[in-house]
Amino acid sequence: MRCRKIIKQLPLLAGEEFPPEKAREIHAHLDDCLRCRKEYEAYRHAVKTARAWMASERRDLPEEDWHRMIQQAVQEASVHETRPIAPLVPWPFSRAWAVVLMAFIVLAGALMVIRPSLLQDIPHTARAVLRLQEREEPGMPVLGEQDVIAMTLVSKEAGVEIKWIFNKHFDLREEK
Amino acid sequence: MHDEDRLVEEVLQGRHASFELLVKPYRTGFLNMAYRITGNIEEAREVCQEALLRMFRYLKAFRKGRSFKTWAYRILLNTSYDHLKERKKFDRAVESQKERVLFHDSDQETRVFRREIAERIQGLLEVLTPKERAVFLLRDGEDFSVEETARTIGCSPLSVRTHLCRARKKIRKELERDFFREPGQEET
Repeated sequence: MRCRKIIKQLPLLAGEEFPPEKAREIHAHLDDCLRCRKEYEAYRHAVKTARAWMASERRDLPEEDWHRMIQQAVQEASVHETRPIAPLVPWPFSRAWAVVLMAFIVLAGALMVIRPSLLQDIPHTARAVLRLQEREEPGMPVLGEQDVIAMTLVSKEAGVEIKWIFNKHFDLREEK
Repeated sequence: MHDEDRLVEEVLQGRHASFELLVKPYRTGFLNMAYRITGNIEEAREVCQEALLRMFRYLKAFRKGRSFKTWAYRILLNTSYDHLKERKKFDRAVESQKERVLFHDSDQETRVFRREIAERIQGLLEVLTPKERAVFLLRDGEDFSVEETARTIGCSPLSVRTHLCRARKKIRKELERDFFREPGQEET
């Protein structure tokens, strides 16, 4: 193996992370390569030192303290278990409420997709506007009472005038 | 493993005394892991207390046949990092880690020695990222295998090796820097 590849593996070799076969293979290279061996020794020293420090500076709890901590944990957990948080709606109804709410949302969504105009009260709004206009111009028909709707299209270039007249059943009569 | 499953079953059936037997083998491990992460023995006790509470509360979620050790250490790690986040939130982390280490040894010489070692360990851990720190502490501090470390942290063994490799490189660099530093010379 090449030194560059070996050097990358040295931090793991120093902590004995490799299986014996691979470790032997790397050690064989280290026996021949002074530079890599020095690197390995530096990593080995670092790992051994850190492990030794952590092993020498370990803390422990007195037996009574530990026992008290366990008891406290068990008690606290038990208190929470015996006092569950009350749900907003009692259980038998909560599922029914959820179903009703979901059905309502689905229905509203479907209506918006199929007939968006249902959600907009256009005739009502138009009627209100016409009533306002009627106050200013007495005699103008209110939309609900109007029997005939006419539309006139005029082409300036050709001089053609088209009139579309609808009755209340929307039967079209065209005049040119 | 089977004994742990049996103890878990007993605890779930309401025999709370079995919980103490279940976690007893990891007593010093839990405390030291929390101590290394928080840098303060009093906070480490708080973290252990909270972690024990979570373990008891979520024991139902423990899957039998799995290792209780890795499951418990995972809870401990999460609790420790949650605690650190809370500490940062309240801006109490201004004090240096070195000042946080408390000692209760009666012998003055031992106290000085342990303080020095503890400060050095904290100095080494400060240069690591949270994940590198967790991997390093589990593998080199608690003697976990690479597979156990991977299960505890919730990543692949390959990822553990990568983080371990980076951590050891940083530790080596830090130790060399420490070695060449003049006695009494402060870090600039």
